Amino acid sequence: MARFFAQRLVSLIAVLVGTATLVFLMLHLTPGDPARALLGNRPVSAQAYERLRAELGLDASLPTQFMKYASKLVRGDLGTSYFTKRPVVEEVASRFPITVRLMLGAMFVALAIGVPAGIAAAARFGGAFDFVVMSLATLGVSMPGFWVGLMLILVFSVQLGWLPVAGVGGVAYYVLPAIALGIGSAAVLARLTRSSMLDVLRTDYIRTARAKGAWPNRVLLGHAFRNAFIPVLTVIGLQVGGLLAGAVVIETVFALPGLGRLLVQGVSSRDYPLVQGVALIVSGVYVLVNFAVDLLYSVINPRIRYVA
Amino acid sequence: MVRAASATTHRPKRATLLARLLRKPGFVFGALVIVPLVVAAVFAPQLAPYAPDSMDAERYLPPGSSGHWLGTDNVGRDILSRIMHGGRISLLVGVVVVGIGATVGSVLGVVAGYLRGAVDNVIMRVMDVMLAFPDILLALIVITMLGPGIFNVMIALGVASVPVYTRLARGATLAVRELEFVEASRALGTDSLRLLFRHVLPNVFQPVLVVASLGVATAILAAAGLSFIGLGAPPSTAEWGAMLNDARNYMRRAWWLATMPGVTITLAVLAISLLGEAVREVLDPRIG
Repeated sequence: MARFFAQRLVSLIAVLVGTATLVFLMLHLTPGDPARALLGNRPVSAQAYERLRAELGLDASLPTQFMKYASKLVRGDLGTSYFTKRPVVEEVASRFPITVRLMLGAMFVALAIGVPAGIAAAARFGGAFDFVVMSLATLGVSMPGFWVGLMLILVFSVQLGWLPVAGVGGVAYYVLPAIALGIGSAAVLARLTRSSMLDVLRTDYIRTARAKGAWPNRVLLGHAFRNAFIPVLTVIGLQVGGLLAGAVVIETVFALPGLGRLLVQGVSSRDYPLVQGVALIVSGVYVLVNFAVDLLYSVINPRIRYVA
Repeated sequence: MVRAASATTHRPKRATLLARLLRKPGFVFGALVIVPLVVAAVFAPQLAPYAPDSMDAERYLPPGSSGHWLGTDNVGRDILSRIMHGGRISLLVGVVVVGIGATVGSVLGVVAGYLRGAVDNVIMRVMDVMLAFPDILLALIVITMLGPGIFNVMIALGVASVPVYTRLARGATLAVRELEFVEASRALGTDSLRLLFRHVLPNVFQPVLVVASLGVATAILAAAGLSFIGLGAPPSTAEWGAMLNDARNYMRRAWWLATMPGVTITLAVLAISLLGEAVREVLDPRIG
């Protein structure tokens, strides 16, 4: 296990180094001049333009720029935003908690709805309940989360006045965004839990448990779900990526000043350090969560033991 | 004679792909929804009651109003006409994104899987790194480089989808290259390029088609999202995501402005997903 952990850690570091390099190369090897983007339509002299390029470090050769970027990165310095002039680390740190709260809420919605719905549908396989759950799940994955958000605002904020329309504050401000963001993942988890449960429910040990007279609910939750949860866990890890991506749009709908909105702001203004920094943090979180999911496998199912 | 009769008896009846698809209720439902949407989009200039930007004096007309079935928006533009014209962009995005991703990804995957060694290693390590980014994030990095706009969104989402197709095509290629008929062809002296195009690519096509058919729906959703946050189609353009963005400020006054384009996106994505699922079930022998 320790050797497996060490191997995974090395590959994790390799992927993180790879992402940092790829983001740098993608942003620096393509057409588009951040200095020009910063100046907009303002007419400036050639000297002023060159001065700005030097200020931004864009006058150096690409390898020099990369070395500077890498050495800063190692020290935890993600650079300075071209527009706000604040360190990217500070910008990210101030926005990160908001996105984390939103994602935890969305994950709660996804698990609380998706997993029980999938288990119940599998228990009533082929019946009307199963059909309704699966139809709703298909609809759920087809609806754009940002549109669900708009509809929730229309009903619960505009018509009923129960929850705030947008902005940042207490728990109430996260209820609608979390539902809008989590509903698609709930649909995915419901489909997967059902199919995984159906696979397990057809196995011999379940038949034996039933033949021995074990309670149906104990067979379903105690025996079947434990094994059926492993593929579900993998998808939960992958859903984190979907939620991070979805947060970009959902934060815009609900005017939540999180990482997603910061990223959109950076993309719109071609703020390279900002985009670079947020992209690294987001992909880092995604990779780390999937690493944690890998390690959780053996905890959930003791039959899985990693051999390095 | 006996052998011939027996062979005829045991050979499974191979219905055409379309006939097998038509037996799937999901495919029929999907086709019944998507065909009218595609026809309405393609022939929007002829079929739409109004031009997408023509303004009526009657603003905020609710759905069901005479002459404006789905109502009018804040400047009196006909919503039905805008949805029909918007389909031209939104549906096209789905196809183009999958076209870019599947073509580039398949070529890279086939090359990696066929040549193996260093080439395979380099291609797949780059893909591994790309897969460490959630799709939209990768697309946003590409948009940062290219600038906003619907054309750039297509490229960005296409690039972001490349790793999935590369992995798929590589896996299929690795399986195909070990098959006896490929070995035999190689032993007969067929050159690599001919082997690739003649034997490997056709066998890779099927799994790629299965994923691509579902990828169109994902691309439509992603592109609508990017237009919604102002990075795709410019505001006020007749495009489904941009229409939702425009509608945000007028929701208190006119609920239908945000409802109609959203229902259209949901229907289109649902229909394409059902078609894709049906294609997957028919083409993938491991399912069903």
